[in-house]
Amino acid sequence: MIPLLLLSPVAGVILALLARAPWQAALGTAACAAGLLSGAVIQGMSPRVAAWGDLLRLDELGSYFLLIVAGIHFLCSVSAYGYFRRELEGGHIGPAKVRMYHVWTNLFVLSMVVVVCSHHLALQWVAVEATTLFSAPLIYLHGDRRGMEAAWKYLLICSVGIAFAFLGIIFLSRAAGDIPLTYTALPLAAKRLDPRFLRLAFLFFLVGYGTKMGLAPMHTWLPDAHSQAPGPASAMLSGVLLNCALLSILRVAPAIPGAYASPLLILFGILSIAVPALLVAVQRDIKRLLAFSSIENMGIVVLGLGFGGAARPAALLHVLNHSVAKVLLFLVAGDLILRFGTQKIRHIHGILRESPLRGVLLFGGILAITGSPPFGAFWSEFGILVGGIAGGHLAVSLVYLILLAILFGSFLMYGSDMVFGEGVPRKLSGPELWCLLPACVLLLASLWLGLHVPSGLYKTLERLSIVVAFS
Amino acid sequence: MNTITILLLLLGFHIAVTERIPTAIRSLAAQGALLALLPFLASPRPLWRAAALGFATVAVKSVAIPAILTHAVSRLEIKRETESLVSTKTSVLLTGVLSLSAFVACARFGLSGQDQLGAAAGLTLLFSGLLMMTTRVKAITQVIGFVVLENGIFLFGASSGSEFTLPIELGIFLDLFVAVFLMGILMLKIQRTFTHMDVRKIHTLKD
Repeated sequence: MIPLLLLSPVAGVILALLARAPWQAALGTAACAAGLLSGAVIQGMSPRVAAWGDLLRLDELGSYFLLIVAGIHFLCSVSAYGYFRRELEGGHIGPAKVRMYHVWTNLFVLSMVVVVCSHHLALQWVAVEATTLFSAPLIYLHGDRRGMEAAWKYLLICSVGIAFAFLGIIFLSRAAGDIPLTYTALPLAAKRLDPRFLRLAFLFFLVGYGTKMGLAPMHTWLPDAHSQAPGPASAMLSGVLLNCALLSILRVAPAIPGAYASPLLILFGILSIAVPALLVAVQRDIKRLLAFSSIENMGIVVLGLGFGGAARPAALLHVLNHSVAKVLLFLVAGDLILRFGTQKIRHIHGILRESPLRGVLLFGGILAITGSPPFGAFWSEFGILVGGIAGGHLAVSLVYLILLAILFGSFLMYGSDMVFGEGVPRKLSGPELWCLLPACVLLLASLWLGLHVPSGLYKTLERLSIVVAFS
Repeated sequence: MNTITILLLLLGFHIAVTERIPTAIRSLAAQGALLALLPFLASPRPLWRAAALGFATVAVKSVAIPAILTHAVSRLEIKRETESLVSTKTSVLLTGVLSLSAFVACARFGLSGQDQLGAAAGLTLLFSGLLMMTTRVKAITQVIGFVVLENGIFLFGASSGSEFTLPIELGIFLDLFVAVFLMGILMLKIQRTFTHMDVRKIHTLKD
């Protein structure tokens, strides 16, 4: 199964290179994404673990993350067709750049598939660094000044961060001695490993991959990078790439003593929620706003993992909920930016009156990302709160709740300004089907996850939360 | 082994304090060549593995990366001085303090394995690379700092005796090469649109 999973993005690269017109490249990417998704679904349903040699192995945890990657990639590739058709019509971008978008996106997805399939932690490191390299060209696709600034920061800060994670791997190999650095061998030997080096290794893993995940205070590159990439690429960066960095931390977790790891995770988690809570109120750019929300949500996931207990499955569920809602928002935002010709929030208003579908999607997305009741994120954020209180972290849970309330208020304020409000600056053209269809699917998915968490998913998350528990 | 480590360290100091970019690039290439000897000394068996790693090190660290950087210097027609936010004296002092703290950290926490000097020297290079990345003004010196940092980690890893299977090791080199290659492309592009290479002026994006 793993060779097939790797083959589909490779085929996407080849098709994009062979394509004569932008629509052919888009079709190729979408077809290969559909192939990857069906492979991921088949693997996800099969009880057997897929392995290819010693280096690649896809277990249930990997499958969960792979399903998110493949599903989001498929929806983004559909949306990218509509997005770039508009961009080409508007003359903002040439066909050659659209081709490069598809080439880099497929390579980027390939590197993420390797991340989720890696059995060996050093191979995973190589793949995470590759995700940085393959996604950097997406950020400066338009070739403007801001994009290059953002890509430069992204490349430099993330590369240094990942270099620190490699230091973590060196410490881990010191602790492990002859034991191979695979996620199956390490937890079994956890008790025999040198705890001093384990702690150092985890610290460097957290700082290194945390940089890539956008945890505060290493988040400075993230709002720039995510706001400068074209719409569908931002959605991929925010919706799935951050998860891949999280998975790299999860893979080493079972070998680390919980008493050491939990306080660190809680610290980074609450910090990553607090920084956006303070900065969201002064944002003027819609995509930067969404990028800050990604930092916040990664903070929520890390906080949940730090709480442990009942919060752990909720944190894993939040990974899915965040991806669904954030990709929805980035796709709608990308479409709105093309319509209004600006990323400035104050120039975007009165959407509902002009285009009810877009208004519903944007407002629904904002409710979904802030964890309002009918949507999925409510349950995961609530589960983390319950887990925190049950685990005896009363003060932190209270701070968490207050910060969530602040964020909810800020987002609702921006949302109502954009969606309701008076005056229409320009005529919105009819709904761009290919841009908005994936967003509709995601909104329904988020609603479905909120009204009814499927029992199969719940049982899977319970099992996974044992897999990622600290020793 | 110790001779190589000391030479690496001296080259690192030279890169950290030199005021001319081409000289720094030459020292960087020399560091790469020295690092290529490490696989032969640390794990000579099987020989083909050490040879492959040595070859990859030379190809990436002392041929490809210096070539990219030299090309960037000539294409960008930037002034040959490194330009730093702190004076040369201060950076000499800071590098000294950082190397001292690296040695102390290694001794205090017992970080080093069989090769104590190597581990401390690796950390020193790492710190001085970080220092270069944070105090230098020009984009190209930041890239040089990044490569010094990577060299430090490489030395630290080699002296800790951490080794992986060949595909992974080669993947690490490929990543480093592509990273510097992309940074080189970005530098040229930034030069074309910004007409300067001063990272102090890169601040359009902020909150």
